[in-house]
Amino acid sequence: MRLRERELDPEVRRRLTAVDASLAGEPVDPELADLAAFATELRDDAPPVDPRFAAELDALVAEGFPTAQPDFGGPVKPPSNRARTRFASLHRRPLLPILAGATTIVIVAGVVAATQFHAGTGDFESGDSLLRKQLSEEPAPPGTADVTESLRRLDAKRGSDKAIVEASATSDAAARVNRPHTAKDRRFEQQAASLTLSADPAQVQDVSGEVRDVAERYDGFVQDSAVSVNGDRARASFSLLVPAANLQAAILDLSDLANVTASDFNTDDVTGSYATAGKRLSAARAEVQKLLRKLEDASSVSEAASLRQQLQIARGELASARGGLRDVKQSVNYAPISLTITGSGDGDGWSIGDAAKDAVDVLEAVGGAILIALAVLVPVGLVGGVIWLAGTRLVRRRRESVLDQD
Amino acid sequence: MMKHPFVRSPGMSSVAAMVPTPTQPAEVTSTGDLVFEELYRESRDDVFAYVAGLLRDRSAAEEVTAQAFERAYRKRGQFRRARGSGRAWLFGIARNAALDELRRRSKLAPMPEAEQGSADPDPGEVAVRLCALRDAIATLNARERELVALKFFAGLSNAEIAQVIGVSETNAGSKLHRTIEKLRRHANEAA
Repeated sequence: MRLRERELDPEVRRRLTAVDASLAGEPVDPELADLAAFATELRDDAPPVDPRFAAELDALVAEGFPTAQPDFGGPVKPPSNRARTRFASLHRRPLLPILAGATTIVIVAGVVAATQFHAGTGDFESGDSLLRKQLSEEPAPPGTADVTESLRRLDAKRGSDKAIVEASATSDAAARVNRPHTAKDRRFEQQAASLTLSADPAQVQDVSGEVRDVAERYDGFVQDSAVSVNGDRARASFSLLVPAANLQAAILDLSDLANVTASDFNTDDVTGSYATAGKRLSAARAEVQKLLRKLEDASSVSEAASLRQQLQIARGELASARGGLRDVKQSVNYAPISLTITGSGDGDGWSIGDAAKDAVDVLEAVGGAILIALAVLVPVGLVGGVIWLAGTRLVRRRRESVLDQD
Repeated sequence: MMKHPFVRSPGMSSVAAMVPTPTQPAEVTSTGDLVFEELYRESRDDVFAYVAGLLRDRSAAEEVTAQAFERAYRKRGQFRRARGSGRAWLFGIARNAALDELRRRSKLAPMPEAEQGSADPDPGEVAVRLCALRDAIATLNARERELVALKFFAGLSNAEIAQVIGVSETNAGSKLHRTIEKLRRHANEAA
């Protein structure tokens, strides 16, 4: 922070004002007449310009300082002076803003490309590829079917060699998961998926038929469905249940029916529930066995009647435990798929909505790129500014050092 | 003939008449661009007087003055009115050129003796007074001599001097006042 500067002493100010007045030919306080006279004497002793030099300099200015200069008879001009002057004017041109602008454009372009480009595969992100990625990251449940085959079918249809490589990798992952589990490390997972497809309204009916085919192909079934077509708008919704082992393959086939606009996968570990249900069943069985043995050894009619009554309750508990375990097993073995097909005229085409979404995506990417560019350029600019300031002061100090040599 | 900005010669006044508007500085157009030729005509003699007063060598002063105007001509596009007057900008360039020359000369050879304005001083009282004044100026150090040259030879205002030497206006006023008093004291002693 700059300290507030002291005011000039009033007497000093009065004397300096008198000097200025005398130089301007204005009247001066008689008390300061000596000072005024001294000032004009100094002014009149200023070194006059030689008319010859003045004429030559006038000519140079009139010609706009051509390259060759006349010799003024003074000391030899340093030969590098002109080059230095030109260099100085060159490096003072607005190169910095141009470089900063170019750097920003490069960074923005890089970030936009990185955002849009799927790193490592050279494949631009699409609904299908995102889905494929999601599926490959999903841990396969025990007994996963041959997902590779489904992926191969999808990729053969799309003609993507890279995807086949990816499918092979997924196959390896599935093979690892399919290895026999020991009783201790076996986990039970409940899976569920929801999928939203977008199709042309006229095709919604056909796509709905294909959904049933896919469910049957993977040993699943349609629990309920609803299809409505109203002019240029159509909508269909399905609740499917497919074997958990076939879930990924079924989803891939379903996603092939139309454009995927949304997808969601949930996996819940129900190993705890499974174990609890198993223990409950074992306990119920043991209780029934115990009561049966007691019934065999009953010594009186009344005791036998009482045991029969307890046995009836225990058998009810056994049935309930058996049902609980069956429910858990079914939730593990079968996965529900909630499928929605929307047909609002923007299925395969590129609509205003898509354009707006793309525009928002691009703006987000550009905004992020600008933020990154600023994060780089601002510190660089600050450091550059400090260096420039220090350099300027150093040059000035070195120049002025000659004034202190007297 | 000395052409002080406070007392313009007839030639200079005709240039001043070319000023676009009465409120606009002579060296700046209505759009703020520097009119180099007008600045040159107004400042040529003042720049030479300042440089000669600082270097105490007429030949070197002519060379440095020419260099200063050439640099100013080449850099005229970089002039910004908001940073100060055209004269202050020009004298800043002239000062750098003069200091560069002083540094170069200090490395090569000893400074020449201060030149006298005329070879044969008049025997009259004015001439004696002039000699005393020059002797007094010779006793000043380079910084003080520069202040005298800027104020009395070049005719810069205190604000312009402050801008050229890179200090505040108050600081420039204090320095100038001390220098004037020192100079008067030495001149009176010499007389």
